[in-house]
Amino acid sequence: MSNPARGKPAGGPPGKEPGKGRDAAEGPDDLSLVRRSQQGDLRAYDDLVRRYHERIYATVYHMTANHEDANDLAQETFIKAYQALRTFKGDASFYTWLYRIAVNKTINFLKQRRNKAAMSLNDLDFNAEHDPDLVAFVSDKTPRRDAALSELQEKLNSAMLKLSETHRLVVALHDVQGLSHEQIGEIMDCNVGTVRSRLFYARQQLQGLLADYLK
Amino acid sequence: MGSSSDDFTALRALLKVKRYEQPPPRYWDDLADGIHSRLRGPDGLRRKSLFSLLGFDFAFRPALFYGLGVACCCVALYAGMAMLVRQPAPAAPPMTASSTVNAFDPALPAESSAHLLISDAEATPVSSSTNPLMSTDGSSLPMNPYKVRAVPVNYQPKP
Repeated sequence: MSNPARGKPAGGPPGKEPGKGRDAAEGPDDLSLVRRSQQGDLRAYDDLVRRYHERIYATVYHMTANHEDANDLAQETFIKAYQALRTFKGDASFYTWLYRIAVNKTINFLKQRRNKAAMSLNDLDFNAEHDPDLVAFVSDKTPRRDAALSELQEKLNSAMLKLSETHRLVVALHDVQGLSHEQIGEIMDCNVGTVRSRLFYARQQLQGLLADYLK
Repeated sequence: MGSSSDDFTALRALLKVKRYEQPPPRYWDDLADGIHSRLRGPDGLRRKSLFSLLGFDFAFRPALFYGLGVACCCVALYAGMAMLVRQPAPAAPPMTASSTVNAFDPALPAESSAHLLISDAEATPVSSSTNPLMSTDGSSLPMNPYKVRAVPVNYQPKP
């Protein structure tokens, strides 16, 4: 069971083009795996699951800020995608189609869960302490680096949860997972201008909510 | 977007924290195995019903089906009210053999049928009746000033 992204940030490598990254280069492309899955080849679908489960989980996790919810929703996304695989025509990429399922499921879940939000955050990877940007940022703000990182994580997630679902999604996909505006536009079924606008207002809101940590 | 408030460099640096949020060790294997086992269990084998294929999925359209349920209840309530309002007159009690007697039934004893006829006649004696007496030509009817006569329909007077 290969796990090429182990040890890397949960958001996935920024700028990595879905379906054409290292995972896809190692095996058959998405479309051939999808065609085999449509004919009932579960092993082909397993390959697709292993190719995308980290990114789908990360997206859901950044939206919910809850590990258990993200786990359930990621599993349900892949189950739903398998059940609906016959309807996949290949007009969009499999990755975009899968993302849409995950995003719709998550937004529906969040609407039902409204006012009952409870964070269950994942631990920070030890690599965070060695990220030069973060080190510079944290040492600028406080001398107590370890405490500050976990504190920042909690404040950041609390602020994210105060954004609307669409604004949170744009920030999670662009600033955390590194997707391009065009890819986000495909996933959210809107044009690039709308994505940029949402991103701008989401960042403004976050900046206001986290003003104490960004001085 | 060029003002200081629109400079998101610090925010983007802070957002990098989220990239390092990692689930517990071995979680990715567990997630893949969980999906794998669910796909080979009832979840994966379940086929979509015709109802779902038509797009009527309760999970995705709760509001639609809530409305549909309310509409069905309203229709049922209206139908019930309409039936109550247009309730027919109470039906006569079912006749039983013991409650009716055919006075002309030859099988009955003579005295029983005679009793019925006599008692019927006794109920409205002619001498005390206020009903007008009928005559065959209609001329002597006390309430018939226009001399109207009743004649059989197939009556053909001779020229």
